[in-house]
Amino acid sequence: MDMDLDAEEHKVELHPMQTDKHFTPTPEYSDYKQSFASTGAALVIDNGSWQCRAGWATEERPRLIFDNQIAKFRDRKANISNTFVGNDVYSDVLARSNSRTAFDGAVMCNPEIMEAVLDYIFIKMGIDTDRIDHPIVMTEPVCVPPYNRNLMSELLFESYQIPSVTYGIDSLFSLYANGPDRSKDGVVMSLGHHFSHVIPVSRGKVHTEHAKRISYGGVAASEFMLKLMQMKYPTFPTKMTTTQSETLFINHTYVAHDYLEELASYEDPEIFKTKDRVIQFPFVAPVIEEKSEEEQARLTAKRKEQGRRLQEQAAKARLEKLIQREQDLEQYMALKSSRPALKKAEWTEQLKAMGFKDEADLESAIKTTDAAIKRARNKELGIEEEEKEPPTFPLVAIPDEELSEADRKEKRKQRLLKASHDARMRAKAAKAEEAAFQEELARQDAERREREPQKWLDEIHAKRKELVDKIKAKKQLREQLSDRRSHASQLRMKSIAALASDAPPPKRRRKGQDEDTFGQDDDDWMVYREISREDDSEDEEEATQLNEYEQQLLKYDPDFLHEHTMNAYTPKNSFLHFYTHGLGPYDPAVGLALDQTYQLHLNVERIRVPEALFQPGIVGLDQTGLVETLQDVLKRFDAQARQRLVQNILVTGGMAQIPGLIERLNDSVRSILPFSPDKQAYSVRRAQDCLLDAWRGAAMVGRDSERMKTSTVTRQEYEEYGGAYIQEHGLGNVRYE
Amino acid sequence: MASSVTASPASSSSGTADQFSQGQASVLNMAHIHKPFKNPKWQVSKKTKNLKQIITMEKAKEYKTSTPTYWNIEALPSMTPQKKYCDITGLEARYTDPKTRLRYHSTEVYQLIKNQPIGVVQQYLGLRNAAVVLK
Repeated sequence: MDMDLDAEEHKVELHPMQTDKHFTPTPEYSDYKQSFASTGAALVIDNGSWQCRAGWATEERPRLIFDNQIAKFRDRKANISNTFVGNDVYSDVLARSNSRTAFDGAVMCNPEIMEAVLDYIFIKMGIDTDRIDHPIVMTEPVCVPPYNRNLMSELLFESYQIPSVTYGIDSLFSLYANGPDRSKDGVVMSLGHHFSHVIPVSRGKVHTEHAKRISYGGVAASEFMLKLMQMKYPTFPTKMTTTQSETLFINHTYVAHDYLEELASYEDPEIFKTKDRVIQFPFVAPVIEEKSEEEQARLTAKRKEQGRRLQEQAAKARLEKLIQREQDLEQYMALKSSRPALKKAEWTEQLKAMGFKDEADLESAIKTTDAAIKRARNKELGIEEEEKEPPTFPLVAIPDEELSEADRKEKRKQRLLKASHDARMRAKAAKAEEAAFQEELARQDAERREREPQKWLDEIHAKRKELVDKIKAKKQLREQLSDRRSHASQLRMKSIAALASDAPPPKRRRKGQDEDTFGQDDDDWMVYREISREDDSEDEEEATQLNEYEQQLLKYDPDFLHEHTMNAYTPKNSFLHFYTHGLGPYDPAVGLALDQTYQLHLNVERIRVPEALFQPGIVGLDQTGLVETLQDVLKRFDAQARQRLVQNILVTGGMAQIPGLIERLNDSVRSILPFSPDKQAYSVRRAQDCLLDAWRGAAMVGRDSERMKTSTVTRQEYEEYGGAYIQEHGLGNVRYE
Repeated sequence: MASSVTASPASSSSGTADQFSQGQASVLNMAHIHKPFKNPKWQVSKKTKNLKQIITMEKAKEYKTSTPTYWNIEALPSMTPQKKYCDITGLEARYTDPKTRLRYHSTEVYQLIKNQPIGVVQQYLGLRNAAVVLK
């Protein structure tokens, strides 16, 4: 009843876990000819390592958004080669397992895959001219190596023969999209897929030399989440994927305002209850078939019928055998009766023909067959055979001298048989005696229990306590032995040394006492048990004994409950229990219900995973966290510039969407700035659209023909200066010198 | 560059489809589609280098030390003292087990640590990159 109440009280909300990535195809467009061909409109591609977004600079939103990946494989059955790009990869199981990206970390390294992705973009946009006659605006990572930019430029200019390209940093485009007039000064915190960056912009110049990159991003966070879950539920029945851990990270994490305080709050069950998230994985309950009464009756009838048929068959077989035996016996008897009428040679010949060695063999055959027939007849008629007489050994008592040679042999045989028979009898008697003894003990025990119940209980309790102490002491000793420097280990080594040494101990060197007396006392042998490290069989015995006591106590002592047993799991006050299994109803005697074994409880992890942004040490990363990095970056500017920069701190990228992040940053930034009574001394804000702003900013640049003039790399420049060449334009990288 | 947390990409792409209204969706097998816009004389190089190789190669070029490069914008090691957290539960760690080097929050967690096999202990240490790696 208590259980039911509990269940009502903890009605937990379950968050179902999806098993497969949802597939939605990317749209195709056919308006190229009438709307865009020969307009010279810029094509904008936000080429991220997670998602690729592409569209026309003249529009407000990207037309295509897809995961930046391809799958190239051969379908052996249909004997055709396949190349799927973007979200199309999720449409096919084989494609999914063959998916690859052009990126190593955040940097594009594989132009072949990149080419397939670009082909896909242009096809989807409906471009059907013989070259791409549009300027391209494309994003690239902060401080991308010239080699990689060259790969991209080569691809764009050679393969698609584009007229020009503008490269910029995605998060700076995002800054531009969030107020073009404010984008001259500021700090961008970009929390990306692979890395997080802090990039300062001062007076319209990007100071990438002062920018910093933290190696923690969405991928690392999802992986950390996955590892945490795997460690927390080592025997989870289904295999969790990174896609699933990613959804956990996206949907359930938040940034704690004060991390230590928030951690401590999880220890309080009342607060824990409100913060614990339960993730339910799909599972199939075993089907218990309920049979109707009619069906059951039919089944029993069927079983009976089968039994009857079997019995009939057996009876028939028995009868056949009996007839066979009777015929055999008749033959044997006929043979025997023909004996007097035959000559010796003829007789032996006939015996041989029938398969006998000699007359004695025939006799014994007749005897056994006769006995078998009798038994079978009795059985058929239902006559119980009378108790088998104990075998007699008549020859054993007669002295050897009175016996013939053959009889002596027989006597030896009988003696052996008698010995074994006697032993059997003795064992049987001992067994019966033991059973009676045990029964008697149990009876006495029960009697005492009824006579003086309290005393009896006390005794059992005392016995149990003694045993528990013994087991605990043993456990402790074992633990100590695992440490080589412990006292217990040293004692053990001493014993081993003493056993191994040949020389008797010096104290016993007195005359007449130097002989070895080891073994005279039985306890001497205990030393081997002392030095042995292996678990001996005694452990098991003790465990069963303990179990017996506890069962008795559970049965007869109302105060002794399941949670008092030695190995009881007491979840009521155990943090580790509700940390892994929540605060729902739990019966230690039964264990988890089936649906509970398919549940994940997300609690401390909800803040632990995003906290690594602020304290990368949590994932073992020896780098400054977000706030310390910002402090580090700001230090490189003079006070005046610093003042300008902190007025415009923009947080963008997917992870910027985690609840609580901006609030936390807001407070932390105050702590690293010099005290100022002015509340408006700094501003931390989140990008309007953390995911699309980079594309939108790039499109704004693509629309602005003045900006494009100064920021773009033309075909001529590409041919003259090479593929790594760029124009510095305040929203992109600087040239390597 | 990239971002990872999202409103599902599916919903945003269907949004664009509505907006332009001529979008129709299907799965394309790019291996069998004619691409008119491509220069037939150009073949992309099949040889690729991974980022590590590229950086090693670039490092050899000796740029000016003031030049921001991919490898020198990495965030520096932290100068502030690091808080310690329980390797099992993530709570604040008050103790460290001298034998396994695991940090733990309470005696209850310690009871758990004591019974863990070495492999599991190493996995826990691996979460914060402190596992012993034998090479």
